Amino acid sequence: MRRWWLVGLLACGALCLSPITAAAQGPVRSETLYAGAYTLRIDLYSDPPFTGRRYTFDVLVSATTPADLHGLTLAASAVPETGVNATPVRASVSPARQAGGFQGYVTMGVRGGWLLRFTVGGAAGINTVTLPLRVAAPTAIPISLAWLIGLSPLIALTAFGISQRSYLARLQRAAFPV
Amino acid sequence: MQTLAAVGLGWDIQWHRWLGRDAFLTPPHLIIYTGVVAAGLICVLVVLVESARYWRRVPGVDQMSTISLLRIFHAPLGFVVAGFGALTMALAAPLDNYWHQLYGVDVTLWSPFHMMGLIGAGIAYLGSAYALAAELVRSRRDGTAGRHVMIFGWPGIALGALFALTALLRLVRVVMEPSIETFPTWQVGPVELLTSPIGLTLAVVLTSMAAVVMVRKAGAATVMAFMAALFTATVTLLAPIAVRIVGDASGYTYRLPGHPYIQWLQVLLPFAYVIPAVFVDLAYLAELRRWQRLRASLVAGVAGSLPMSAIATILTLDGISSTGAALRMLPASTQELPPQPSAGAIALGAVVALAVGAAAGRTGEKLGRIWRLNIR
Repeated sequence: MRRWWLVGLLACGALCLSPITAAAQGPVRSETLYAGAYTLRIDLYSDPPFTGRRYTFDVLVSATTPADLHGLTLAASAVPETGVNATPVRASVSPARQAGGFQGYVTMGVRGGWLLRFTVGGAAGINTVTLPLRVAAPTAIPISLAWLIGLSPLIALTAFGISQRSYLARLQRAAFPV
Repeated sequence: MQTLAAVGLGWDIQWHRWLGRDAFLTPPHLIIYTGVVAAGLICVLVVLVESARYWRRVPGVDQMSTISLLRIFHAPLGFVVAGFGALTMALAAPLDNYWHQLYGVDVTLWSPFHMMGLIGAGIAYLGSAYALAAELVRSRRDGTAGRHVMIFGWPGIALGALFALTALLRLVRVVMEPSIETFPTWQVGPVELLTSPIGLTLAVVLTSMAAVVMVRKAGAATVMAFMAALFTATVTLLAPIAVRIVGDASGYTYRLPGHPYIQWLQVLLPFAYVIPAVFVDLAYLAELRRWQRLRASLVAGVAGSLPMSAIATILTLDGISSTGAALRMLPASTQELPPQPSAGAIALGAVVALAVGAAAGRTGEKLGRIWRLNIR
């Protein structure tokens, strides 16, 4: 019995460590985008991104002259493409230790095509670039099965309703004995 | 706690409309699920405490005042039912999130897991109505009803029981929203009928009849419908303001042009549902003096369904056009406008609503009798 506890504990530990190890393994995909005078190297840590999960990225901004990196800012957001029924989501971005480096994450809620939009600002001006993403979702269950699950509480409600008919008769017998 | 969840639901509807659904844990969702979880925990606590009291043979806690659950637990019926409803809602939450991930933020209210959550809410509200009605019966029997709190001549506990009943009426109103806006008709084979009069008549007549029979006081249905209207109007009034405050403070981009604003017609609309309740009140009391219970409940049901059918039809015809205005502002990805219902569909909807009204009158009368007698 004690062994099962140990297996469970190890499984929990592995689950907790998996994001850490994923990050430690390094990016699975890197993209280079050009935003005016700035070059953005974007490291992505999962491919494809999944709905409802934090999508982590690193951005390293470089410029032709070091002076252009002065006062550098970066904002990011995920924008659904046309046909994806979702609203834009702001990404959380914070500066990294490395000069011109940023790290961030965004959680996209709906499957389909999205654009990861970066707006970089600094001495060389403000520019926006986008990176197309295809967000994946868990496998869709058949709609008929979804309805079956969704309406299943009605069975309990109906059974309760039927039971209340005889309950009313009992209540009335108790309240008005013949 | 269930009222808290209802406030969250009212806010959430406006949140979806103006801001979309960018995350699962939005402020309105937090309020809804805080209410659901807290209500569920209260029910579990009551079941455990009452079971312990039952097994310790505490006076007043016996088979007459509790129901048996798995032959281990003994608790008041209302709390068991409400706990089951809260559990259903809690189970529906992750499934609904999954559905949104698959099909987007503007999934209709009539989606499988929205319906699961709403049925759960209905069961929870039914449970709280049972619990408060049992309390009303107990206080009436031991003579304490109205001894502590009287509001406009009504015992506080009676108003509490009626307020619990308003939750069912308010819920069905929310459930029937798509029938007013996006799915005005049902196609059953070659036959088309207007949906909203049927669902709304069922809700108004059932709750009104249950109210008048449970309390047996003139005006009970009217008071119940008025409380429901007041609550809905208050939430409808405040929700856009709350969306605007949070939306502006958090720097959200609104989906519709401009900022959230109060729609006075929507605020005042819930008071229209008082009219059929008045009809039920008057018809039941008038008929009860002359006829037996069965006929009184059928006549009152039909009397309530007449104004309700008319109101629902007007709302639907108007709702289509107002939704059309909103849809034109949204991106092209949203669904197309529904066609205007035909005269035949309206007429058939009204006829079915009359039959549903009669049946709801009868069922509401039986439910009211249970709540008049039940002390469990």
